[in-house]
Amino acid sequence: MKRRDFIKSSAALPAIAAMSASASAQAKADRPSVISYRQVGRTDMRISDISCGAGRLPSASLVLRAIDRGINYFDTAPDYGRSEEYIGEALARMKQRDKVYIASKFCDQVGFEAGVSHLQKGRGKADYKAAVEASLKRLKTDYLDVAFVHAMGELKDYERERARLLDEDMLAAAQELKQEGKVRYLAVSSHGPYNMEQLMMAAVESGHFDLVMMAFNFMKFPHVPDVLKEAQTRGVGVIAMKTLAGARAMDLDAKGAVFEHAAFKWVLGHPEVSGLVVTMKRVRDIDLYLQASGQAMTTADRDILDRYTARFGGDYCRTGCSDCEVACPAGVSIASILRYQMYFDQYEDEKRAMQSYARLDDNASACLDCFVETCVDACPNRLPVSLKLRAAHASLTFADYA
Amino acid sequence: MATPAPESPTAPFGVRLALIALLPLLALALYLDGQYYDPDLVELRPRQSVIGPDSALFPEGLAGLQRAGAVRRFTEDNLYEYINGHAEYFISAGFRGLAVGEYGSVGDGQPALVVNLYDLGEALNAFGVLVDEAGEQEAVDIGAMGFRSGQGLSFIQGRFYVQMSLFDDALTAETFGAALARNLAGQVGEQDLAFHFPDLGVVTTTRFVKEYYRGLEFLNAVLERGFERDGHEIQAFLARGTLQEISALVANFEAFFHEDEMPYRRIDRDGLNFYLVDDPYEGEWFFVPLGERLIGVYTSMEPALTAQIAAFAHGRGSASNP
Repeated sequence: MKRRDFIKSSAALPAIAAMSASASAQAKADRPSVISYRQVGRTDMRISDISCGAGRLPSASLVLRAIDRGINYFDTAPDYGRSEEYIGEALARMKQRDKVYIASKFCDQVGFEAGVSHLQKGRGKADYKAAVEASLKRLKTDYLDVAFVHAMGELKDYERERARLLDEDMLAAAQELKQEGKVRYLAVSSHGPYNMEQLMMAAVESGHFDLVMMAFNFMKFPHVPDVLKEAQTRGVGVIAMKTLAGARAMDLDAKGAVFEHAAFKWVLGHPEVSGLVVTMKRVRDIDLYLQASGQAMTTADRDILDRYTARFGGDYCRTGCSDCEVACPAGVSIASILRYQMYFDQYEDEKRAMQSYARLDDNASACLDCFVETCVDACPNRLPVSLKLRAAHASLTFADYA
Repeated sequence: MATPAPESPTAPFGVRLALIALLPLLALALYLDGQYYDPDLVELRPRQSVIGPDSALFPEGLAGLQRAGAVRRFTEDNLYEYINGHAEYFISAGFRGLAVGEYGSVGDGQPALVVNLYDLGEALNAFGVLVDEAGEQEAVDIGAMGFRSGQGLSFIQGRFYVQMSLFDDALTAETFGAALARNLAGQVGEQDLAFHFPDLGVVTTTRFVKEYYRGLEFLNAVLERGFERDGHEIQAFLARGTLQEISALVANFEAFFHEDEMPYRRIDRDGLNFYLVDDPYEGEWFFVPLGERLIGVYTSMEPALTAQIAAFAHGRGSASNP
């Protein structure tokens, strides 16, 4: 049975069952669908090479549509708005829980706040277990396929983050949850901005984690290939995110290539990568992204990535590098600020970006009167860091109403 | 034998001369025409705020405090001077004008209360901003809807979104909020009826979706409401726009259904044009354009339900308040 047909055959999905005769009769076979599934390390999961990042999920119907197109891995979290509820609604309607893999995070259902909403060392075993129980309730399921220790590297302090990564209470909670059948695999994720590659390597080497998920794209994080090799050696799965390198609007002369497809193919061209997750918030996203499933890079793909790099490479901060921060005499949280600015500009997630920025202690207000600009000299990619920080401050700041 | 090239016709010299002589006249005509300003063609003036006079919006006395200094006013052109970094957000939300009033005790040089009063053109825009700004804050019963924000509060009344910031721990935000909301209600009315849903049951949830409602990129700025009806939960949405915009929205739906090969049909009932959709992912649902509104309901098209919508559309039914 084709992946896209299995939902239609489910009598337990009332809406689909009611419509299946007419809908399936007219359905075109050439709609973009997943055509490649990959093994995730030593787990028993084979996931769609292009999977659903559910951070801005608009409805349960989008989940069902994605499943119908063959997507079988959904990456959600308690602090992704109503994402878990929507997936839960879709699971309840589908009633074929074992056909999809659900990954969620150890975190509270509150707005994102670095060092707070993602459970920190000291919260204790009970809190970790309670977070999963709450997710299960929202997801209307009795187990998670994957539970993530999430957003590793969101704080500058490497030792503090490493302690969270290897927190004995978290590991004990994960072990108990596995024994109780509520979590199948333990994982860790990082999109930086601090020490991403070191933390991911520490996770792989620890032997505690079944898979890692990290930022990885054609703009290259120099040490990610080392992590990939080590993960493959140890049977740890790797899922890539932030694969679109900022996802700038562009008018590149594409010669028939599509930027998103090229970026996905580049990532999936690494055999150590089990798959990628990309935010799907529109019906159109599914149609667009899945055209790259199972496809190999072409000359035109390489060309469009080169053009993108030439156009935007000098403006793209590779999260994970913190050379500029080390050089900054004011200790400004440069990587975080530039990441929030990316959320504001490229992801159009203005509110979250501004809220996150407001919570930073070391924001870019110090840059307004700075004439030293050691950050610019320190940047290995020669980004105009100080200019970017001032612009970010202007975008992300509410004026003081007083 | 080679065919001779056809001889190109040549206009008489006098005609060519006359055409050349016409060129300056043509240029002059174009120049003169360009000097006339056609207001229907392009609006060169900035949009005028519809915010009324100071005294109407900010009473001299407000629950024991006195208005201090002049009311400051901001337009689209200078809003950034007041809320640098957030101006674009308000402008894209329908911003028409901002008035800022300050209140304090007599003889006290510092304001105890600052009120930002945003005119967003229509109630739906004000509601959208409120929901966007509210996050997980505690709701308060001020104006049409409100929430607490630190030591202040925000609420909506008609087309206005109001932010109040208090700088005196001894003062209670609700007291001033209620007084200001009453004053505004006197100016703009209690409710904007066009904002309402038909009453489809007991309201359970209300939220504003800024973009891509249910993943559809042409369906933005939508108000969604959950209702309990006959023991079941149903969801409905309301989109607003001009007649042309609603017509375009219907066309977008039809184009999407065709592209997605999703069965749908138009049903004329109770004097309205309903569209019933056989959606494999949403289940059966329907929508109906009602002039400058479009209402969608995610459930079967029961006669009782459509009759209620028709009664509402024809001004005979009740509305569910925000």
